[in-house]
Formats: sequence, C-alpha cells, structure tokens
Amino acid sequence: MKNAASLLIFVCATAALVLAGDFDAFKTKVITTSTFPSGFSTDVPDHYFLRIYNLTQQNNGSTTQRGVVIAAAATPTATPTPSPTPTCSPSPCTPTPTPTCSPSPCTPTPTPTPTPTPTPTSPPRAVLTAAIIDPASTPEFIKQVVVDGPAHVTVQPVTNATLVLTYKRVAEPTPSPTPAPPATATPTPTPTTTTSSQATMVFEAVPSNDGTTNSPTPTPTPITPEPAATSTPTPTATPSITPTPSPTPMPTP
Amino acid sequence: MMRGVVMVTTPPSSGTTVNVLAAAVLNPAQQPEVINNVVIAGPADVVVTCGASSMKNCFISYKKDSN
Repeated sequence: MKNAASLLIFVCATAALVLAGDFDAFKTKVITTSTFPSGFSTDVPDHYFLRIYNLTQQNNGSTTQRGVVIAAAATPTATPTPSPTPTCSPSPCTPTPTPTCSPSPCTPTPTPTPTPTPTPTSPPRAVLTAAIIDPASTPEFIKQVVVDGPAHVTVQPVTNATLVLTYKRVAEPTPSPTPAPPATATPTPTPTTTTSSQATMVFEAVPSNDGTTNSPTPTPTPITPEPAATSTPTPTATPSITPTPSPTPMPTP
Repeated sequence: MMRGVVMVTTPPSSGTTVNVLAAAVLNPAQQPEVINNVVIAGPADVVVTCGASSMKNCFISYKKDSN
C-alpha cells in the first residue's frame, strides 16, 4: 500500500515536470520544405503567452519570399455560469399541472432548434517576418514578438530557404490579490443653501428608488431667481402746517 | 565581403546546419549596423566563424544557460 502511494506521487511529479518543461522552456525549430512535418504550428492556451525570440531565414537559392509568423486568435474556454435557481412566491411552490391532451398520447410539439451564432474571431494575421541572414550584406533587425493566448500560431516553410525559430510558451502569472485600501470616512455633505445675487442653488437629499435613505448626494437644483418686484415708492406724508395763532393785541391801560 | 556567422546544427551532429546570425561590422566611416542577438534552445551545436581575412577581429558575447 505504501509502495503504491509512493509510485503514484512519483508519477504525478514526473508528469508535472514534463508538462512544465513543455511550456516554460526554450524551443528552437528548423523549418524547411523538406522536413516533416513541414512548417510549424502550435497552440497557445488561455492564460499563456508565446514569446518568439528570433525568426531568421537563410536563403539557399533564389527566393524573394520571407517566412512569416501568423497568429490566429482562438476562442477562449467558456466559463460555466451558474444557472439561477427558480424561486416562487408564495412558498412552497405549487407544482405546474401536467397538460392533458386528447387524443392520447400527445404528439410532441416540435421545438425550434436554435441557430448557432458564429463567434466573431479575428482572421489570422502576420505578426512577424523573418530576418534574412546573409554574410554578404548588412544585417537586418532580428525582432521579437509576444502572442497572447488563446491563439494558434503557424509558420509556413519557404521554398529554397531555411527558417530558424526560437520561442518559449510562458504561463501568465496569476494576479495576487491587492489589499483593500483602508476605508476612509467621507464626510456627509450637509444640505446647505447658498444664495447669490443671480441664482439660488439648493442641495437636497434625493430619496432612492428602493425606499431606503442613503446618505444624500448633493443634487444641485438651480432655481431661477424671481424677478424682483419693483415697489412703488410710498409717498411720505407731508407734514401739515399748523397755523400759528397770531398774537391778539393786548389793550394798553 | 563575407561576415562572420553563427551556425547552428540541430539536432546536434546529425541535423541541418543553418546560419542564424551575421556579424555586425563596425566601421567608423559608415553608418552603424544593428547588433542582433539570438537565442538557441538546446540540444544544438553552435559554431561561430569569423569573416574574411580583412575582418579578422571578431568579438562575441554569449551565455549558456538552463531553462
């Protein structure tokens, strides 16, 4: 029993090492028309990327064609979405009555088969051309390229030429969860009323649709100013003049 | 004028030999050329040759590394 468990662990570890070596290792392929299989083709799975380090071409005869790396986007693996559990009210649910038909047995109603909608995928594109290695001429740039998965990458052979391709398939690093920033209390804006000589802005709490009262988001409500009433000046009362009695002459003795 | 080249044979000793890199010529009287670098995955035989007799001084930097 103990030996069987040890053997199982050894097999699993070996398989993991083989799989890791297949992906996270440099690979160099020589591509000619005479080699079998002709050309190069590889699949880059989801959450992996393919980094091409160099693609060079040595012409063995007269050729004007260059090797090309062609990448085609593949459809990502679908993530199953949980189907919602049907709920009913009032609880418990009443069973749906089974339809009865006559004559019996029922003839099944043909259900229309849904037409599959084609998944839009971008057409294959050339992402890199080979650099010609010719000892008699000025060297060309040897460029690198990265192809993100899921994708299908191919290189077709070129007649009278030998292509050399070096690449590596790398797993994308899993993103580490970032710590949530400490919650900072935001001050609740106090509804205030500001007045100006031109217009009045009133900030008021707007009740939410679900009936709950949230902390109010200030909603500026412009209020057009009412025209100032032009008051008619009240006439000030003119003081009436009280006549001063004229002094009566006193008789002299 | 023949330049120095890096030749690769893969699989070693029995496969196809192909040039994968040509030397960049440094001439102060001319435009500078691109100095490329290549990665060769093992197992492979790598042979470096210098160019014509007029360009006998070749300089190469390399590193053999594991995955």
